Amino acid sequence: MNRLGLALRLLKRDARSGELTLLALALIIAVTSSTAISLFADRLHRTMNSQAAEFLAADLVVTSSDVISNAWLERAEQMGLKKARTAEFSTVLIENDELLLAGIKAVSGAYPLRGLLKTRETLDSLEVVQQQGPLAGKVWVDRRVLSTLKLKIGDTLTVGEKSLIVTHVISYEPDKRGDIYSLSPRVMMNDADLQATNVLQPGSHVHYFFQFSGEANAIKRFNAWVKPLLSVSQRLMDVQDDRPELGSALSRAERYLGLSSILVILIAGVAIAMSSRRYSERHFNSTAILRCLGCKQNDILLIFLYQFFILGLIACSIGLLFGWFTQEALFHLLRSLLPAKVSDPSFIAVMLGFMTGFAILIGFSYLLCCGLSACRHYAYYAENSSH
Amino acid sequence: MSKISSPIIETKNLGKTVLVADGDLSILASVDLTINRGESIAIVGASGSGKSTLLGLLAGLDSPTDGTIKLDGEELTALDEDGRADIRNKLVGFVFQSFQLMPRLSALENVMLPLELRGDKQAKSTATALLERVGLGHRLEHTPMKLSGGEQQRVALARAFVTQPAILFADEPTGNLDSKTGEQIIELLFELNQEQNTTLVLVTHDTALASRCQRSVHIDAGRII
Repeated sequence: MNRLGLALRLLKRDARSGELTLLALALIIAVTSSTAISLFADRLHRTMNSQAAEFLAADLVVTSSDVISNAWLERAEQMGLKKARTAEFSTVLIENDELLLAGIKAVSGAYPLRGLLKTRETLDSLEVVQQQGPLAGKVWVDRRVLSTLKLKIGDTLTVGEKSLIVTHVISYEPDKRGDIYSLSPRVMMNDADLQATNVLQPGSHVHYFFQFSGEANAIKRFNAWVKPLLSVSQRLMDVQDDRPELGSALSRAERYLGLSSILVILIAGVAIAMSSRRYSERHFNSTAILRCLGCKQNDILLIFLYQFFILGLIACSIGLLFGWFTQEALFHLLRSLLPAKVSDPSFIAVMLGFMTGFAILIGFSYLLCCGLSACRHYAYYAENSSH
Repeated sequence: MSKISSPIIETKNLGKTVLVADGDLSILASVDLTINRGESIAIVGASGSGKSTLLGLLAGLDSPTDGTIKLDGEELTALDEDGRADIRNKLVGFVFQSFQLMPRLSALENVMLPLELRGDKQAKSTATALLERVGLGHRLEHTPMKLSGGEQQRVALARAFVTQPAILFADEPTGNLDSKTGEQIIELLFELNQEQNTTLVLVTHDTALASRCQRSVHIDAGRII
């Protein structure tokens, strides 16, 4: 007996008679809702994480009052991580007989690892997105630096003993912090010019930020490796540590969405269980007849399992598609509240609803099929016979 | 002995006892019965006499508590449920009082089903031919709900004969039909039985119907009398 062929034919006949409608609907609704929620939660989570990483301009940052060991940087490189360095300190700038206490930020070529810089060519021009900081010999400044020191774009600004040409006005830097260096008007220069300024001397108050980015597992491994090596003046920062207010918002959002997912999965489970139970109850008589006609217990078990499997595959795929469109619609409706660019979902999030619906269906249907295949044809026959 | 007159069903000291609140209840006891190939036999008796129980045991739908049953030389009592299902699939056809058609399948699909269980590639054409033979060529796609009682029993007859079974068990095949329709069904049953040379075992309490069989076995209180 070709059980798969027979299962397909019986399934087709059930579909035609409308017998599958309720079960298929329960599956589609369950998979649609769980897919939509898992995709929405996952994309939101990834978007918030990547936004949070932008606030650090990296995935992980080691702050230090001194330059860190080269071995750490080599280790990060071995783990496939990208790295960048910024050094922040305050210094007084003097131009055109004007003095200004400025927050200097010397950045390496790879900065920023996450997020983008924004500058203007002139005070009134449009913002331009920059992939990296100023080149050697150039300097970008806050608008306040220009006004206070009576400078304009193209003028020379001397930082310590190094003269640099002002090329851009900084309008946005992703990792701008609320500390004293960031509150002072910003001057951003290339790391390669730092030595020549001669500003940093032994005992100077400077903060180094060693930034790392890369694949999540590698970041986790590097984090675990470097943590025991930190001195008292060094600190490791990630999204949770660096921005506690953001970290707790993130945790709350994750908890809320996680709870919603669990609820949806529970409701989906109950709906699938009830409709598959109804389906198998309505097939009890047919099963008894099949057994009278000489169908073996294992054949019946396989025929019903094949039917549930094929039905699950079709209904869950439709649910997956609907779920995808639903979460796209949700993002569209909430677009004014969310960042312009939303992260793509992970493969696991895409398949979660499908797998949940499918696993619940097969789990419940296996138990029901076992009950069906063991149905006593004689008990049924005896009930319907004349005695 | 020629194959035609060789026994196809043999029971020895067959008994069935069930446990009830008061203790053991004997439904059948010491049934010795031999039915030859091609023979038609009526099992007659009052309601509750045990005739349907006997039919269920002979068909391998139930297990006896005593004695043995041989179907075409195969000892049913030595087989497990799957073994008995195999025998039913190869040798047996059923006609029930309440038709027992699959409600969601069309007449054609109901008749095709036993052939499909055997993996027969000609299931559709064979089933169509037999439905035409029972006068339902124009009702192939109708589900049981859309058929009259007589038509449903014709479909059940077609389903029973479609595999050309060696043995046909019929349990009160006219019990749910009016007398005129019942007569037509019985005509058809005996015609098909003759055409296919099937061994017919018929349970009934209709003596007129029983008289059409070659032999009648009377059963009372679980014993053949």
